[in-house]
Amino acid sequence: MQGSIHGSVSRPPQVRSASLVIGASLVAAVVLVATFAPWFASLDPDVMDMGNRLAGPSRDHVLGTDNFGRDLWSRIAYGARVSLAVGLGSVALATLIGAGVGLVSGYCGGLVDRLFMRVVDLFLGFPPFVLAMALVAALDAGAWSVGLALAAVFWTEVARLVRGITLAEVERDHVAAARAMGASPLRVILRHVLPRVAGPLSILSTLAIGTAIVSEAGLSFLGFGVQPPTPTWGWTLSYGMQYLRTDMWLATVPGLAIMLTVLGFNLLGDGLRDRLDPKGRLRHS
Amino acid sequence: MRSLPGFLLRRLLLTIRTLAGVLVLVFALMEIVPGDPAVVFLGENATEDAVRSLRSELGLDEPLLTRLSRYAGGVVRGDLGESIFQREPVLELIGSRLSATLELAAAAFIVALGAGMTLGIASALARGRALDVISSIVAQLGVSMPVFWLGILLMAWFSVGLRWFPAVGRGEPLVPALLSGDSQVVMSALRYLVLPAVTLGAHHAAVVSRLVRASMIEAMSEDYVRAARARGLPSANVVFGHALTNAVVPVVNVLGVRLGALLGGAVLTEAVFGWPGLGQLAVTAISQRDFPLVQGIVLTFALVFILLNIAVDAIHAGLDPRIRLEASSGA
Repeated sequence: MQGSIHGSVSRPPQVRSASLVIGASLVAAVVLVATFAPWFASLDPDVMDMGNRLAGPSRDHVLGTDNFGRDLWSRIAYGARVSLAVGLGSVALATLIGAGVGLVSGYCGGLVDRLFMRVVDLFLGFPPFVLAMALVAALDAGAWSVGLALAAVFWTEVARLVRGITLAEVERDHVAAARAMGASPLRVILRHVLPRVAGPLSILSTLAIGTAIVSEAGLSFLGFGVQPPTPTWGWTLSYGMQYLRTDMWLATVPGLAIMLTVLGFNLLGDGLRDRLDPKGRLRHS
Repeated sequence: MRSLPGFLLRRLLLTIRTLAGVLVLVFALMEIVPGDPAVVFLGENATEDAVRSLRSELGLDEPLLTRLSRYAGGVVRGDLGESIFQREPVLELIGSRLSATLELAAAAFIVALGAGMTLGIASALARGRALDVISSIVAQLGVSMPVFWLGILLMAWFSVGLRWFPAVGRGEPLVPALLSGDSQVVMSALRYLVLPAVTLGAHHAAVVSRLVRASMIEAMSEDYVRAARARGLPSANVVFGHALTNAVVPVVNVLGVRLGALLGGAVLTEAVFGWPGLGQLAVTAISQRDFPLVQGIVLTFALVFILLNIAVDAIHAGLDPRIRLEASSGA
């Protein structure tokens, strides 16, 4: 995952202190635009106006129009919905699966642990984006397929992190005491291990959302993501590329939207780590 | 097994197990295709005869385990099947594109290492000052910038605008060009390679620069560095001879992890610059739903990824003997 190796010491204090605020602001802005897209963008993102195609910014079209005369700002605003839905959905699923596997693997140890870790190693044998592409190829293009494919890529890192923390936690005295007093495995996991996992997991998940969004855009850019006419940033960028000589703006705006969103989640993740994991435990797990 | 050859042998044996699993997963890709794969691959309008023929060709009318063992046997013999659309052996198609992808990935790796280390060292030496803050912001933007967008921007500025580099395609393969000794051929090859390599390498350079900065700052506060300074060694000697030598170990480790992202990014970079590599072949194969070819390409990417990881592990173990000890104690 993109930002997961940026420990606190890798950034100067001036940048560290600003990370959380700037990241949270960027993320909040994107979430607001996506949630209230009809308010922020009054024009229908799918309505074509061929007589007004590739028009520059104007009062009617703040960011101009695309090659079909559709309002570019509307397509960016509505495209945020797809990016966030796929990014959040895939990471939520990956976190659920990865945390489940990691907790069980770390708590049980032995054969169960070895078995689960073999499966994790198997998935880690592929370059992540290539695996996502292959899965989308098998499942067919669409939001669900992309979400599932990205979840299949990201769950391994979550599983490894959670397993590492669980292995360390079950050795601690308070967990041994709870087990000796007859606490069930589920109770031990929920009451004693999960609270320790929650902090690092929230950092990793936040960073993963940025990676998932850029991966979704990459798949859309190649034509394997959510299909037109649904507005997506990757697809808008892809056809904007055909107008580099005359209308560079068309490829600039969606790229900027992707970058600012990913930057927001990366900074937020880094800021959370500075607060929750100042010793860089996550970095070394 | 504390020696380097012993460590590598153990690593290779583990790789065989991983490869076997990867092979099963690649085979399983065909199984998760919703509906009849033959219909899906040929389209709804395909004739019954064509569908029946493809089913037979892909072995879809045979039991699962028979197909798996046949596929695995074929892979071991170097037979990855035949492309449904191009009617050529998958291995030949992959062979004709692999060198282009490896050339691009290697060039991007050099960009990432060169630019990342330079920026990281400069940043560490200027800790807390303007240069450090600026390079940190640049690195954060570099990490967040989609590789395909950077490629488009570079193409717009340097190919379409300034016309310094060709926008798409690949010149002569670089290694034969270098061996030819003809400077014009080398320059031609490099003109095509520069923008794709910078595009693919920039993101990783940003990551490397942050890591090098962090490692250098840690190393600079170690006793052996302070002792070297106290002995009056020249500053450059302390930085490059002592601190950097140790700071580079974690960088190598993380670069191994980044290789997967590098190969994935190569697919997108090839798509932007029309670079005729494995990534472009993958995009075509997926668009045409040419599944034997998709399977072959995914398997090849996984193999390259695993082999590169072994190479990185070997370098890592060579640089840091503790890695070999950890591996042997964990055996």
